[in-house]
Amino acid sequence: MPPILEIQQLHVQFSTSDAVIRAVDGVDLSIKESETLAIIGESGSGKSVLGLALLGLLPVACTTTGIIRYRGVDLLGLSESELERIRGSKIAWVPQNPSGAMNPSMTIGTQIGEPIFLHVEKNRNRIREKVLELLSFIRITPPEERIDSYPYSFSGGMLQRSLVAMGIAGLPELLIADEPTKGIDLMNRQAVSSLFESVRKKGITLLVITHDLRFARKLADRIVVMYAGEIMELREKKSFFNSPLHPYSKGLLNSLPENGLHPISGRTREADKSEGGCRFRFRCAFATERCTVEPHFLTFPDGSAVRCWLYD
Amino acid sequence: MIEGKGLTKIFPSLSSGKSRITAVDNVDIRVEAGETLVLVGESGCGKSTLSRLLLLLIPPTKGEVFFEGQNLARLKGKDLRLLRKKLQLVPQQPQSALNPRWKVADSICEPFRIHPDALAPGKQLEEEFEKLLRLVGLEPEQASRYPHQLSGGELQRAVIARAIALEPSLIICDEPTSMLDVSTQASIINLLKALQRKLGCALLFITHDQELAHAIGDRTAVMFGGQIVEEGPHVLEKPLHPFTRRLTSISDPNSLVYSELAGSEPQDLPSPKACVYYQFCSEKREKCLSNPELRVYGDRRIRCHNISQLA
Repeated sequence: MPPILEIQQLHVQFSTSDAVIRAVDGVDLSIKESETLAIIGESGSGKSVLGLALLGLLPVACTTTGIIRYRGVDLLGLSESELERIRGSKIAWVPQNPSGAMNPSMTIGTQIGEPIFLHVEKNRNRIREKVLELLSFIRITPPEERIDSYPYSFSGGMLQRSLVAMGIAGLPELLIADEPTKGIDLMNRQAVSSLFESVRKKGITLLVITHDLRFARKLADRIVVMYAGEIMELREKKSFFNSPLHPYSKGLLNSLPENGLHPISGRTREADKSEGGCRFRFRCAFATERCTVEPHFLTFPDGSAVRCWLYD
Repeated sequence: MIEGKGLTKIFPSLSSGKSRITAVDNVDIRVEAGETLVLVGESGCGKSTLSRLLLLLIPPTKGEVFFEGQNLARLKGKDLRLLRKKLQLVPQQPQSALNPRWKVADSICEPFRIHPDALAPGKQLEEEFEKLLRLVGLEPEQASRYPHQLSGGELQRAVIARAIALEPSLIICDEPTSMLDVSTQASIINLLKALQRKLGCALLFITHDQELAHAIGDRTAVMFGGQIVEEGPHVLEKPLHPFTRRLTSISDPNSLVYSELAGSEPQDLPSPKACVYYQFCSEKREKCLSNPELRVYGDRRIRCHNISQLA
């Protein structure tokens, strides 16, 4: 089966007064039909920018080059009005920070109904029925009482689930969610994660951007590790968590409390990208002379891939 | 060292028609010098309100706070200010904890402006400031910037530098890492533990991350509905209270029952005197209609009628 989304050599650059920031720098990735892919990495690794680029939601001030092919159509070549027909109805976005993403002066029901009105159904009564169905799907009960509530009366976890409902309201084929478990407590995290589990069962392809490794471990089929705008490792979930290849992936896993809270030393610097060579070598315990040359993105027969000289 | 006795906070309801909200309900809590007490519980269970009560940032409706034997509620003005030197808070959102119009360095040095006598005689503010930066691992260049120019982890280090400036005996950390990524979380936690060893201060660590609680705490207190329902060492490894058992079982990703997650706040208690966990408890009995006391079982304190059979 051909991939639902194919990304080739995607670059996103922001120009500031004194430098060019290469937020996404040569990403190649194909997302298979009905799979769940988690993109993990530290803050600033380019995960969210990649997600926004896929939907054409980045500010005009930045330059996006490369190919994003959705079912054979290159999204970067489409006009804004053509993109609007895909956005929400074929590819939908669940933004991070639920309290800032909702319109505070519109009811939850109206906001969830909006993508339905735009992409599915114009009849007001049937839209309301569908919104009620969605509210019970995300376990906001009783839906009849909550449909006319305003966002301020919802908890963070409920807002997060409402955003997922908005995302799937337009019946998309691909849902991209940005940090859906950030800053919410355990029970809500469990609720969000089982909600995604049921979204997945509907056959919707999921791309989850997260730094919550436990959430990724539970939900994803494959894991993509991003660092400084590049993909460092791409693996099946099980093999990733059992035996991560890239030193950066190992560092991320060792940072977890259950693995002893060992942080990765140093931090990401923009300068590391311009010096050439492996971007992680400044923080890497295994760095050698060879790492001053940029490593290839090595692909193995089973489809996994890693960008590190240790495996060449 | 610090002890809250019978702390209760009732917030009046803002919208009409709703009753008052009891955020913290008759809580006894103590933190010994140099130890780490972890407070776990869900959003809305009263963890943060309890921490603010201990610092007297909000006045309790009932109850008292003792710090090194002194009753904080009796202190006023200058005396209270002097005592607050010893009590510091690291909040959840470092972005909103620092003045956006001040350079980070000015925020870090603010404690010395408020307490000029805290500066050791003969020592310069400069020296003290550089020592703080070294302790938390910030570069002077980073401290000369404004908060919006730093990342979340760097800001949290700055907030910690400010909190340790006056060598406090207690730091209350209110979910200091819930918005940070795993690697930054690990370095902030290690930093807090290293500072604790160096300065000998106690930590009251509020979190909803059980793995984190395992990794750092000497003792754990579990809150539900404004009350501490279970407290002691190894609480999360060997949970006894029904709520703690439920909480620890859902952290196991394989045992997920979505329908159970419908609500976790006590809303409609059959009687105002009933156990706060009554409506969720699968083991409730008739006597649970009266709220149990927090009773001692070995090194554990538990608020449940049915424990003697369980233990």
